[in-house]
Amino acid sequence: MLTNLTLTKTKNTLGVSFDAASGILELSGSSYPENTTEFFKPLIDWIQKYFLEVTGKMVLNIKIDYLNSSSIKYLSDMIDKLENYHKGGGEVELNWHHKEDDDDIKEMGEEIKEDVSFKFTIIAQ
Amino acid sequence: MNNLLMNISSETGAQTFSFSYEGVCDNEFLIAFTEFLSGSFAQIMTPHEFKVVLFCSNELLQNMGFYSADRDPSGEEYAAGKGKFLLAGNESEITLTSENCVTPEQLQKISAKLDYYNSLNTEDLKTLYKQKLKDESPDDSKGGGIGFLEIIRKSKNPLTYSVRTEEDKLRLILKTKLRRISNVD
Repeated sequence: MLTNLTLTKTKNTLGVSFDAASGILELSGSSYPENTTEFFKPLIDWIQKYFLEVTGKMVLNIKIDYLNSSSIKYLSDMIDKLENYHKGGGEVELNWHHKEDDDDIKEMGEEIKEDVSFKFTIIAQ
Repeated sequence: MNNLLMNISSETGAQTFSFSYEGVCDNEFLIAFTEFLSGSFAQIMTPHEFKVVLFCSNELLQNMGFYSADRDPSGEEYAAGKGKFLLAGNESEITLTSENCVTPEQLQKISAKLDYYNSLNTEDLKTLYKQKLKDESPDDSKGGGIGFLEIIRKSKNPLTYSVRTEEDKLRLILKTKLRRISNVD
């Protein structure tokens, strides 16, 4: 049985809250870890398990301040998994939050949105 | 030995600032640098300038930490690579410069990559960026293989390179500029 995945936000790693029962996932904060693979691989593995075992709706809430380039790459991999799940009939929703004056994070969300077919909402806070 | 120097001054109404660092570019330094930048420079830049400077600086610093040929071979004293970094700005532009030792093979690879990236227009850069996000990361990459591309895209300027030799070692100098918003027509 898939258990929840929770990681506390640090200065250089994201806060993570993945809830297996509700399918609501949240990533928040800044990401420039020393070893990006070590941080992101368990998150991607969890999502794949969710799609195989739970097969329910997934809502991903992203509230990011800053991502380095290797974190962007892993986030993109994660979103590809969501897109494949959606194309296979799964229900997916992504809420991309950005600060009102943070055009960089807003533009990053807009570029990702161009390549996905599931519901993707950009929200200014 | 790590050296750090910072200067923020205002002469005849025009503010100039600089930050220089020479030493090991490990994650501990990256965290300290990010906090320092947020505390000391966020107030003298627009939010957009700050985000671009933060992104480009961290990419250059992380790049030196990962790939600089100047490192402790045993990994006991310090595992990350060493290099020099300079952030300097005035009312019209902000310049970021990194300098570190490279092998001839690294130099050849990086220069070919940058020559190509710097020749692309905004749309082509975006297309290549999206393609690289879909590709597997190169085997020799500790990052996502998109760092240089993103520096060029975010700064909206080329990432230029030059080389000098010191004590028979090749030193690669990377430089990018950010034109300040207040100076945009």
